[in-house]
Amino acid sequence: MSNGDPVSVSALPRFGVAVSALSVLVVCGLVAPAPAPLALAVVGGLALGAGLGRDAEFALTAGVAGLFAAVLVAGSEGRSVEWMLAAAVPVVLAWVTARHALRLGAQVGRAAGTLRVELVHLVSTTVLLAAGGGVGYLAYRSVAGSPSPLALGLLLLAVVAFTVSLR
Amino acid sequence: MTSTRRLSVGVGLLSIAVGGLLLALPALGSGLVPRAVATLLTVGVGTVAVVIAGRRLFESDEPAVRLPSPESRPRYRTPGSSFAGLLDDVSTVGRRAVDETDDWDGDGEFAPRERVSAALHDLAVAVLARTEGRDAGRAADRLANGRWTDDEDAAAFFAEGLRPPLPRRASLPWVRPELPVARRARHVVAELADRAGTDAPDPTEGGGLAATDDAETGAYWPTADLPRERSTGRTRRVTVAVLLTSAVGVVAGLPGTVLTAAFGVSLAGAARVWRPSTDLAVSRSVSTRTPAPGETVEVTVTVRNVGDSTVPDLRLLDGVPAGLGVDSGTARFATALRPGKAASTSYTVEAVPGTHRFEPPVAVVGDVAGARETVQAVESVDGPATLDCGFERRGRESEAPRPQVTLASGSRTAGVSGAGVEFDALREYRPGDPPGRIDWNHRAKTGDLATVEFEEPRRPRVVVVLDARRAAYVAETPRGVPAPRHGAAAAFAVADVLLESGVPTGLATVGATDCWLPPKTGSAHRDAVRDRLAGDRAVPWTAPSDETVVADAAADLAARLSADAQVVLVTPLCDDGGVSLARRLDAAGHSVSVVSPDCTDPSTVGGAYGHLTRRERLATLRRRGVPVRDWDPTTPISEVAHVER
Repeated sequence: MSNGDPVSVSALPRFGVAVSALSVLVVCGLVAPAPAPLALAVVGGLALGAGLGRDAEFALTAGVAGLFAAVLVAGSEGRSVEWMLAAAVPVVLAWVTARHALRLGAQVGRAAGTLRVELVHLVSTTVLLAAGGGVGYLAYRSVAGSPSPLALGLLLLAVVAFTVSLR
Repeated sequence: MTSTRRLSVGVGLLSIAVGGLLLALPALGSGLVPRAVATLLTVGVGTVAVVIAGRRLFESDEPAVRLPSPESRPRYRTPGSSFAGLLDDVSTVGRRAVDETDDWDGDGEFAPRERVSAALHDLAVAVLARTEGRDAGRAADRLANGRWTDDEDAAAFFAEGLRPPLPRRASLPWVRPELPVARRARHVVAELADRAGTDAPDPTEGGGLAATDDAETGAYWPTADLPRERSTGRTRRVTVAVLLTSAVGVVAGLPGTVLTAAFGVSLAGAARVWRPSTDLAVSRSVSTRTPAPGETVEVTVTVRNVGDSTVPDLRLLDGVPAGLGVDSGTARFATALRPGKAASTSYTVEAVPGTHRFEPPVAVVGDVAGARETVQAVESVDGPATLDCGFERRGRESEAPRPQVTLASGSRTAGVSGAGVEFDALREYRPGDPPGRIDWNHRAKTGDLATVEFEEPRRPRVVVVLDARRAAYVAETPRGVPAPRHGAAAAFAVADVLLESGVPTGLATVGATDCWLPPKTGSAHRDAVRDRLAGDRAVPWTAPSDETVVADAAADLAARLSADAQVVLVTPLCDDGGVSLARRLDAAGHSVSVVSPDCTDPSTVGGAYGHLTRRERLATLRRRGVPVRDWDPTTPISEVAHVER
């Protein structure tokens, strides 16, 4: 939501931008050894930066998609499930804080103190991600070792059904 | 919960239960049939997931709520900004010869250079005729032969035509040098300003004028469609990501990928489960409720969460009155509030004359996951509702605006026959005439009854007419005080002096709203005049969205004014409508005098053009016998009400 005028870079809250940038760096660092995922992550990070700087939603979403693709590609090359989960967290954080910073910049601007609300947002998002990821991981651990394709299919059905119900 | 949602939750729970059973009893899942079912299920559900994701991907977000901008006044036109815009529009278009058959510019409209030329020619003729005491024809001759000035560029504008040779660079596609015709036009304005005795602008300073050509007309504080709850679009994007990721993960056999979907489900789920409280109490305090013009007022806003759940994400925009701009601090703030907790912010505003009503603060409450937000206007606010600045009674300090307006009762004839002492006319007797006024000598001479009419002594009635048309909403700077608000202060100063002297004084506005107070006297009436002029209802801070037809407005006014009413017209004279209004009222038989707040700034070429054309309008009115008081709003208001002798 904006009030009609595009958000100028100077109005973006520093904390949110910093967290977003840091998350991009973390993702780059995690996928670094492999060249292809690193290239994807760098391009994604640049697109995310452009999206932030120019208030361009599409660039921001595309940038985060690039980061996520980098994690998926790196993960498919023999990484553990735990690594995958951990690497996805900064991707989600980068996206969530960037969008939050854009909306804060549009609605409030930098002149007002936004640190408190940004911290609350960051902490609550991290807690939510940890809780969701934790539950998912526990479920995974409990089924690990008994690879039943039907169980996996049912898991997919459950995910889709819950997502539809949450829309 | 809708039936679809219930069904999908049921399916989800069932599939988890069956999956758990399969894990507990792996024997059930082995064999050919379960494998085939598993494959079908994976492919089918994966396809459905991709289809749903695709549909969600191309849905658009809910439209944004337009939030107000409390920092500054609405944006106004500056005098001469349209001329500056015209100069910027001068391009190579229209360089070709203009003739009747040539339709190079659509429907036979003139190109910017033609319009610039026409406007400047009229202005130059008027300025030369006035400053050199020549008639218009000879002034035009001097312009045509280029001998009117030593400035070569300025002289060439009229002497060498509108299609001077172009610099070569101008034909390159990516370079936009200033064209000779625009440069010459700037020099003409500077030279004319110099002639007219004002500070000439720098003619080399051109292009890229930020001045807008039109005033902002939308509501300053748009809260009509609030409260509104809207999705920020986060859930939609999370849904797409979850569906695509899990489909890709299952098809590619990557359990880690499927697991990342859990992040999305938890974000979307949290937004659905925890709804933030929207019960807020706002209070406001000001350092003074009745500041003097120019005084800085500190405003402190406190918001308290009076609900029973935490507000994780609150943004508040305080309703700074439309007429006040925030000087320091900010009227917006963001915070998170536990139940019962409060947070506050303060900012300062510089007071300008008027009764300034605070608008209801707008609060945006977001949920913990940033998925939905509620935009609401907080209607009840503790603390002062208005700031009252200026519009004080000056009373006897100053005098009436024009000699014709007499202050002594009875010394001016009203132009109406009736009862009185001075003989006016003799007319035929009508039944009901008082016997004392029958002319018995006439009866004795002619045998007919006749009634004597006397000149009726009556106090002159004055109506102060304030020009608040859309075109009158100009300001010296785009976010400055608009002319009608300066005009309201001037109108009050004039009305106050007249009322103090016992002259029945009325008030009318033209344009923004239809405000009409018939001429009366008395302190209650004076308060009514003050309320109308100081408040923002009769003379709002936002320019009206519709243009006013001057002829209709003048006709409406003339119908309301009594025959003997004098008119004090307050207008910035920044367009011809103000002149037209004065002349129409004059033509309707009213004695018109004009008070004109000067909102021009001659430091730029466009501003100087606006300044010069306004001066020509003043001169036009004076030539026609309408006294005009040119008032600089930076000087004290009491100056307005001094008699010009």
